[in-house]
Amino acid sequence: MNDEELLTKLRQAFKMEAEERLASLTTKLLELEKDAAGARADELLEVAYREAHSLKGASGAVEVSDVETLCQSMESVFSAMKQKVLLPKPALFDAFHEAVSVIESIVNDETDMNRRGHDEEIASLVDRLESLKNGTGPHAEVPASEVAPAVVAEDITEARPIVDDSAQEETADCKQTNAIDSAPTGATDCECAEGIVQPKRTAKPLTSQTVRIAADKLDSLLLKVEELLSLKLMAQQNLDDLRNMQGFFDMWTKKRSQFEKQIGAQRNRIDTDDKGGDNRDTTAVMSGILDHLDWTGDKIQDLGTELKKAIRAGSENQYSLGRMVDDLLDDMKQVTMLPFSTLLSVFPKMIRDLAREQGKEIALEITGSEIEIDKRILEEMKDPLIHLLRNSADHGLEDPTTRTGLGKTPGGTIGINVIQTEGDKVEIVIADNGRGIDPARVRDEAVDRGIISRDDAESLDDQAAIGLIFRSGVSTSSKVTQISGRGLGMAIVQERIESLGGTLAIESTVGEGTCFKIVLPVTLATFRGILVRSGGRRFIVPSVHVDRVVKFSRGAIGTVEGAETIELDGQALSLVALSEVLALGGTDGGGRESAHVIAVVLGSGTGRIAFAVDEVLNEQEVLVKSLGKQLARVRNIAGVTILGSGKPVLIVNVADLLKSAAGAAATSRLAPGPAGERDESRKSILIAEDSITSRTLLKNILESAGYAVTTAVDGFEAFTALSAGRFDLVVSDVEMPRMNGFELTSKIRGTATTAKTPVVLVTALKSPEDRERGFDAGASAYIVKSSFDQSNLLDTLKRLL
Amino acid sequence: MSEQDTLSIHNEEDLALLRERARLLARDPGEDEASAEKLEVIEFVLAGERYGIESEFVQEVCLLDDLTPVPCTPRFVLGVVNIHGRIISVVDLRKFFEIPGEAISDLNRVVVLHSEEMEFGILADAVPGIASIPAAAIGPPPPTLSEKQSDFLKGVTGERLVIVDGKKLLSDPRIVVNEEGQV
Repeated sequence: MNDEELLTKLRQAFKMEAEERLASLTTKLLELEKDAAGARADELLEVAYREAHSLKGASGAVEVSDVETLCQSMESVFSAMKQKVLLPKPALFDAFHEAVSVIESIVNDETDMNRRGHDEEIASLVDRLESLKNGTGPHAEVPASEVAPAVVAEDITEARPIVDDSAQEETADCKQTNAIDSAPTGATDCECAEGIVQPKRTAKPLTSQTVRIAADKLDSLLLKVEELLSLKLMAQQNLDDLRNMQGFFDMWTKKRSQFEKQIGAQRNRIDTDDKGGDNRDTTAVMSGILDHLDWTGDKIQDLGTELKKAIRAGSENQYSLGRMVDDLLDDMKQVTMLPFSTLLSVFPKMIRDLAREQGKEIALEITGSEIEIDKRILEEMKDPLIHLLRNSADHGLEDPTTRTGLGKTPGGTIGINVIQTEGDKVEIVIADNGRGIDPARVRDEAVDRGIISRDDAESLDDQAAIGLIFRSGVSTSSKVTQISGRGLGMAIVQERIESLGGTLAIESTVGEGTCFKIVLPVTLATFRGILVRSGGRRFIVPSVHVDRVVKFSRGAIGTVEGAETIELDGQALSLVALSEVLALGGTDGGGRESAHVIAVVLGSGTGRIAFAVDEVLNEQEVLVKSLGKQLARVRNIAGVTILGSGKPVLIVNVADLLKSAAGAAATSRLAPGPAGERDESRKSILIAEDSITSRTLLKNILESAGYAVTTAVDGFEAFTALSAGRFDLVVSDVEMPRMNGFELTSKIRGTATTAKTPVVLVTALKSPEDRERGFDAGASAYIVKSSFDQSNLLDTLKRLL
Repeated sequence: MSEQDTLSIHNEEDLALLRERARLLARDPGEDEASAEKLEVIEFVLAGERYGIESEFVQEVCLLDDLTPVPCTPRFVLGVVNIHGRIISVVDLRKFFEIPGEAISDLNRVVVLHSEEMEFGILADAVPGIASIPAAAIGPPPPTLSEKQSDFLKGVTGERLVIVDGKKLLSDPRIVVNEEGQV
């Protein structure tokens, strides 16, 4: 983005901000005017002052000097009023309202906010405000007691022509005031506003450019747009499939052209033979076959042409769909951006409370809270920011006595500065002027906790030593307080930030303070992930952490100190099965039966570990989602994504996996076992059950008991599976769609190959009649679900096998 | 799942419930004012037991479609499901309550619970509907319940409807899986 584009963008944001601030300013002015000596007067004045001040700052930032000048002028008058040097008077409010209205028209200028033409007006307004402030203006001091709504209205009439605009416009103005500041006094504001409404400088109502929509509604909209992303991926998949078909077709064309000559020769021979007339019948048949061959060839040619058309159309569709989805998603992301203020506004109170609790004086200074970022990133950042702020308040800043002793100001400062760095990055700097982090203490702590050896710790430079606080278990606070110092926090903070695609850096100088620098992307980005299958389930491994994917023969697995390894680039890497690290249990083991092992090498340098998987399916674009509020943090799992089919697939947490793998390496056994003895003794069981939970539960129970399990979703599917493969036993539900358990049992008994296979019915039907029916159909055992428990089923199976 | 379980009324309990509802509807509205506070609950069936949870905590009820199990989680976490593009974790309340036995049932409905701070689904066999229960009709939970179970219950009605304390369930830290860097 070049400077000019940035400025345009900033001005758009400024326009919205200005509109809100002006609306708030107007309401506050109206209230003040109505009751200048009221209980809330000071508070209202304070808000008005702040609005003018903030607007001054904002207009300065976007270089709209007219607004800046006016705000500066208003601010100084408000300031005087705050100090009670200046008493409220109608002429003042008059000037304020006029200033607001001028600013409105400047801000609403479509073409150029800096277009000249207001100069005189502004100069005269500034003069007026100045003279009112100094009490030298035409409207001399009026006792506060005289400031009453009635007087206000009158005075305004004097000051400028009374409003003669349509009633409609007044109503619009009223509504807007209420919408933006829905204080309980809204209704009265309205009445008041009618009395003193400004002449409209621009025909445009203030709200025309902004619509307020509940964030929830946008969330659901964003989710739907994100689902379109899977549609895009699916379209790509379909196109790839079509292209594969094209490959087959091309192969056919080639083969066919090779045969073309032979076919022609054959036809000639038949024609010649025909003339001879010896084998008339054979010739006729042959001729028919050749005709059919030609016809088939033509049809396949046609299909090929159609296929080409389909591919062309498909790729056009895919292209435009992809572009539309990407654009829509981009726009939608823009829409769901929120300013940092929505999050940061809770911190002043938190810090004030913390300070009071600990007897400290802390000033929290926030800048850049108007900068916008993806709402979901903002939500995710809440906890990390709370943690960092608490850290600073709790053991960054010293108490007033200590500070004074050190020659510092008694009160400490924590600053939160949000800065838009590049177009798509935001930097958050959290800095305190406290005691800083002592590298020596961090070294001691890390050594005490066994995270690093004394020698290693001493060899680290100070910056690297401070980095140790990101390792689980290290805290810099010698005393553990309720709010921080448990030593787990920094690791989590870093992890959370990294999972959002951001970075966290820390700078600290002993005695001077600590500064955390967080860089975040403005929107949640998609990343590339490798889809793998392990333990029969699919997982996404973020591509960025994948060193490479390797395939090697089982015989290449070596053993170093009891742990299995493979050799890669002359380096022995630990080899573990992903399914074992994830404790999936039962199956997998990197496809023990095949001669090859496929592994994904994760990590970098000497920290690399090879994770064996069943299969590497593909690499694709992935949009990471959280596991939900209940699963705040799950070991080894970073999040979840939704595949084109709508199925959620888990994304592994590579940092966790590398740590977990260190523990699992010793127990893993991927090398060829003693001649597959286990497989021979393993009995295979087919489960027919339509309820997914029951099916999963049964599968888990049986697999943990050492059986090889195949599942089917109903009797029909089970019967199909039975005719395709061999099973030692069938466990079936009774009530299932398409073919129920009784029918399945009868069918099994009625088929020669399966007639002797034991069938166990597990059902909710507990009446003796049903039981009877089950045994009549040929069931070997009948287990009622309500009386069902694991051992009962396993005993039954053991008896039958 | 098959369509048969959507509209048919097969058991006594359902019939009893409908009769109770009919009775409540037929009652003179004047009576209600006297009976004061009422609790609107979504009723669900779990392994043959009838449970109810205040409807204000129930966001929606949907069919269990495609459950993705999440490894490295406690037993009561069954996995995650995709509900209109949102990822919702699903909990087996029986396991969470530590009710012994591994009763298989036709868990095929997800009751999505939510509050400001929390959101998850619980699996249920069936969700018969909404019931309005006078607060006075809820008695203390029977002493036979497990400690954890009675912790999360508001009580039991005369019709043996177990009322789950939705607020407590949604705010209790024990339901949250948060392995803070415990690797």
